[in-house]
Amino acid sequence: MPVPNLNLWDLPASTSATVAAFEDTLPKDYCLRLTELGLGIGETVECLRHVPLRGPRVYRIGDSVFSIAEDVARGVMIHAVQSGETRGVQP
Amino acid sequence: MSSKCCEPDDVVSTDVIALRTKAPGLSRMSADGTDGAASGSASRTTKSARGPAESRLSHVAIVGKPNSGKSLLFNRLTGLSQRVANFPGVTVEVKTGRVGDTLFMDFPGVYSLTPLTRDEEVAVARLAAELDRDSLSGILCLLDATRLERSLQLGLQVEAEARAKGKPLLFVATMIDELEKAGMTLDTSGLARDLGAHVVAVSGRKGTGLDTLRDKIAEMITAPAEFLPKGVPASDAQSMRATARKLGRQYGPKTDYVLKHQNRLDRFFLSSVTGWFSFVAIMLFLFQAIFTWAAPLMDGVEAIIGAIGAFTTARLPEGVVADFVADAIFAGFGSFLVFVPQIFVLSFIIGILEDSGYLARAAIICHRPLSWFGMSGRSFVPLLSGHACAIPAIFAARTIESPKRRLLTILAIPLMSCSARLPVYSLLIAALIPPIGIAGIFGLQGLVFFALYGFSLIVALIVSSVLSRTVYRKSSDAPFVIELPPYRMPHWLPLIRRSVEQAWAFIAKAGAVIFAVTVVVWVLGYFPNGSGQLSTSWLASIGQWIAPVFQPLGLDWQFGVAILASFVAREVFVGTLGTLHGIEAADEQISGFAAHLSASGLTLASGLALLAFYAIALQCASTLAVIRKETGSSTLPITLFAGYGILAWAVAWTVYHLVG
Repeated sequence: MPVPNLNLWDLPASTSATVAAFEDTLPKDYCLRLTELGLGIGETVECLRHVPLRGPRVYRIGDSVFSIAEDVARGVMIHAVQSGETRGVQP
Repeated sequence: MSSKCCEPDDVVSTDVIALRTKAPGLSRMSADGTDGAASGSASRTTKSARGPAESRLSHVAIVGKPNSGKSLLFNRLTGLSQRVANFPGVTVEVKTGRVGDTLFMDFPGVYSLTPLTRDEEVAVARLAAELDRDSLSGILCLLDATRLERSLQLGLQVEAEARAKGKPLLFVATMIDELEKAGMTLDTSGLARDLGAHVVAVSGRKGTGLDTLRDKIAEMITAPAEFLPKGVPASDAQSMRATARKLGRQYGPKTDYVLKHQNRLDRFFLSSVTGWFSFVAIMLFLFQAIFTWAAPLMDGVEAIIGAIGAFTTARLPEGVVADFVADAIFAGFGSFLVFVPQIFVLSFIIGILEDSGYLARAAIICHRPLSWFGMSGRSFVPLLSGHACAIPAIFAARTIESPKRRLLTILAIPLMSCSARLPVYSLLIAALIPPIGIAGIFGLQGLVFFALYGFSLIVALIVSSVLSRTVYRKSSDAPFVIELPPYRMPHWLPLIRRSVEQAWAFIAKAGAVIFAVTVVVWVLGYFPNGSGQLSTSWLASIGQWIAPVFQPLGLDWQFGVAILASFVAREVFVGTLGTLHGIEAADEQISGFAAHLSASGLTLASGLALLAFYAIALQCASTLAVIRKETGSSTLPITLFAGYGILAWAVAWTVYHLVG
C-alpha cells in the first residue's frame, strides 16, 4: 500500500479514515499512547469537529471521544477517507 | 517519510518492564521541570500506607481509566469525600480510606500500564509495588459501562498483571445508571465468562449494586483463590486491543447513542461563535461569583472574627499580650481567614464546571492561545483560580499532563491578580484616579481596575513565553490528548463537601506559615517601644534602611515598611500604611485613607509605579511555601521571589519615569 500524504489534522469534520502510519517526527511514546487509546495502525478514526483558532480537534476513537492537538495529529498518517458515522461539524 | 514507529507487539512486552523500571526515577522533581510534581505526594502517601497499623490491614486497590468513577466509588465504599469530577486527571495522588480491616487505595486514573505522563508513572510504580506486597488482598478494576471498549483496554492489562502476580481481581462496571436510563442493561454474567473474572455492576451516583459489591469484596478477601483471573482473553497488546474492541461491541452500549447527546452539546460549546460566547459568559459568571456573591460570606466571617476579637481582648489586661491577641491574631491572622469563603465559592463553581464536563471543553478552547505562551489548555483552570488565590491554583496545576507546561503554569500563577491584591488596588486607585464616568456606562476607576487585571495577565504570558523558550526550552513535554467526558449533572453533596474541604485545606496548608510570619512582623513592629509606636519600631528601622530601594520610585520609607510588612500577605499593606499615617482601621476606611494619601503628596507617577510593583511582586509567603511543596525545590521559590521582585521594581521604575 502506498504511503499516504494525508494526516489526521487534514481529515475534514464528519469523515473517517484508517490510520496508516506514524511520522518519524512523532516521539515513540506518543505513538505508543495513541495506539493504546485505539488509534493504532489499521484502526478507524472519525473527525467529529474542528475547533476555533486551530484548537485541538475532536475525534471519535472506538467508543470514546478525544481531543488531539495539531502537533500530534499531524504525525498520524491516514488512508481512505469516507463519510463518518456521527454527524460532526466545522467550527 | 513515515514509518511504523511502534510495533503493536512491543506494547505488552514493555508493560511489565515498565512496571519494574519506571519506579527508580520517581524520587524527586527537579526544578527544571523535567519531572512531575506528584512524586512528592506519592512518596508521602507511600509512607503513610506503610505505617504499622496499615500494614496489618487488607489492602484493596481501586484502578481504572481517568474519569471512570473511581473517586465516587471510593467515597461510597469508605464514606469519605474525596474530590470527584467529570474531568480527566482529578485524582493526582493515591488516596486511602479504611473500612474495618480493609484499606481501600484509590489510584490515579491511567490509560495504560505503560506510563506516559509523570502522574501515570507515579500511579503505575505504586501499583507495581502494591502487586508485590502480600498485604494486597485484591484489585477492583473499574470499567466505565458507557465506554466499555476503552475501559477494557486497561482492564485487560490489569488482568494480565493480576494473573502474573497471583492477585485476586474483581471488575466493577460503573455508571450503570446511565445505561439503564437509556433502557439498556449490561450482561455481567456473559462479560464475566468471557473475561474469566468476576464482574459486578454498580452506580456510584445512585448507590445501586453497592451491597453486592461489598459482599463480593468481602468474599475476595476471605476466599482469594475464587477471584484469581481464570481466563486467558488476550496475551499480547494487539490481541488485547482486539479483545477489548470485540467485548466492548458485544456488551457495551451502542456508541451512536452515547455520542449523540454529547455531540449536540459540543456543537454549541465548541463552535467558533457560540463556543466563545458561552466561554466568556461562563467566565463572567465565575468572576461575578468570586467577587460579588462571596462578599456577604466574607463580611460575615469578618464580623464574626471582629466580635470574637472584641470579646476576647476586652477580657485581657492591657499590655503586650492584649496587643498581640488583638493585632497579630485577630487583625493579622483574621484578615487571612476572611478570604476562606472566596475559596469555597471558587471551588464550588469550578466543581460545577468539572462535574458537568464543561471544563474539558474550556481546556480545548484555550489550548491553542495558551500554547503560544508555553502553557496548555489544562493551564486554564489554575490560571483562573489564581485570580482568587494562588494556593489552590498551584495545587490545581497537578492535572496538567506535561511537566514543562505544569511548571510554567505554576510560575505564572503568582502573577495573576489574586484577591489579596484587591485592598491594595482599591486604596491606590481611590487615591489616584478620579471617580469620573465614561460614556455614562463605565467608571474610570473600574476601567483602571480591569486594566490591572489585563496587565497582570499580559506579564504572566510574557514571562511564561520567555521561560519556555529559554530556561525550560528542553524540558520534557507530553502530548495534548484529552478525553472528552459526557455531559453530566454534578454530584451536589460530594461537591459541597469537597468545596468545604478545600476551604479547610487552604487554612490548614497556608495558615501555619501566615501565622508564623504575622508573629514575626508583629514583633518587629511592636518592639522596642510598644503599641502605637510603629514609626520608631525595629520594622521602621528596617524600612528606613531599605528606603533607598524605593526612593527611585518616588516612595518614602513608610511605603518601604508597608511593602516589607506585606510579605506576610499583600492585604497587610493597607493596615500597615494606615498605622504609619495615623489612620486607625485603615482597611475599613479605604476612601478616607485614600483622600489622606492623595493630600499627603502621593503623586500619580509614584502611585502607578506602586500599583505596577504590586501587580508583579511575589509578596506572599504562603504561595512560596506551596511552590516549594509542589515542585520539591527550595531554590525555585527563592529565585522566583527575587526574580519577580526585580522585575516588579524595574517595571515600576519604568512606569514612574514614563508617567513622571
